[in-house]
Amino acid sequence: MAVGRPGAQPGTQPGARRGAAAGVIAKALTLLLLGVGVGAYHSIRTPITLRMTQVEPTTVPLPTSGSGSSVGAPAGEPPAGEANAQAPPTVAGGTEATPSGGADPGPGGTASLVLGEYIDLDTARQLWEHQLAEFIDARHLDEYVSGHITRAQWSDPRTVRSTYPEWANYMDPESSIIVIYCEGGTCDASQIAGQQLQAYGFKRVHIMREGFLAWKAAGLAVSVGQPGADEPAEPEHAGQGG
Amino acid sequence: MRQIERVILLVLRLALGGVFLWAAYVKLWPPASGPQAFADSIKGFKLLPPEGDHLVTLATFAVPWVEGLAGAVLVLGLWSRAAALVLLLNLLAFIAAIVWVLERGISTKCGCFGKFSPFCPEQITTCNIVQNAVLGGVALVIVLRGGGLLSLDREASRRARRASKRDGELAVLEAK
Repeated sequence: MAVGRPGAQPGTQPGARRGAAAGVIAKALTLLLLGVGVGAYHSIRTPITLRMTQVEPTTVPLPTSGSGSSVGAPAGEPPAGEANAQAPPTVAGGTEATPSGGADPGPGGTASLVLGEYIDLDTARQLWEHQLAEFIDARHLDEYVSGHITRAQWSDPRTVRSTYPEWANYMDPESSIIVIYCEGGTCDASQIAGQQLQAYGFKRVHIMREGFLAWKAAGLAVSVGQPGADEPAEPEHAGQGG
Repeated sequence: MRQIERVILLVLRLALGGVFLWAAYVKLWPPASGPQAFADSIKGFKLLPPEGDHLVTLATFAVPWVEGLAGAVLVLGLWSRAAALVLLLNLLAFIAAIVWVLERGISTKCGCFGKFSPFCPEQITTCNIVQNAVLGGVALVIVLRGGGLLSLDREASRRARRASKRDGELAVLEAK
């Protein structure tokens, strides 16, 4: 292949070689810029959701207070099962004891939970019961107001990228366990919030896969109201929202 | 250049161009999941700063488009040396990124060929360095020796030589 001046025999003269090399570099730069330009245009036209960086599974020991049938149910709370059997699906701010499950007995019989990028409803419930994690609602405000996991903080999915959440000031990015949820299923809001929290330096960010709808359907603690003002939901509201 | 060398260059050019065309295709297609998976891979490398979301998004689309364009012109034999140079630089950057990942013990997927892993395991290992080094070697050969047979570069060069020769002959006739 001859590159450079027409008629030049490549490899025969130093000047021709230099010209050919400059031509190759110029064409390579053209290709590179063209590819990046088309790629930039494509990236504008095709929105993608940046997902969380892979989370290494970690083990969280559960507190050993309470009887075997209500793993770690905080002292003073009703026995396991009672609150869940007939109680309305909402409670006032506090914890709710529910039958345990999903905890792996660790060494010496200590129960522990294994947390990956996604956690299931039962694991989330245990974290919530033992107050081991901060729950973050990644849905829109009106959805949060009409019903959210009790004690859950709210994070605006539209501004979390640009605004450091106030509640995060009281948490240690290294050790605090964060559980994010959205509606459930394939909603991307949890991923968007999660990857941004990772960008803020939070290491232990997990997503409750089933989402709020499953939490509510399981009869677990739900509150209504504005962020920072968890109020018990009225019974007639219990079946709505979310 | 001997004919056998031209044939070998043709084979290398088509193979390299084809591999990168395919790599670009699987990164961008299907539109709903291809770029998404590649973005996850780029994030997994942890090369870009956490606040650099826009860079991840740009790289998600720019890398496959550069690969695709370079692969396409390489298959056509147009700007063969330049396209091979672009791919060589790409591959060197990939090797550097893989070394970075392996040095830090980060476990992540390559994403080099979308959901496929034709030459190496899905998770990044030294195999990926070897794979890119082999492809880089092929690219280097084309940068140094050209595109070989059946290339548009060769045809353009032939036409240029013919035109030049004709001009020379005309000049000689006019001088007479």
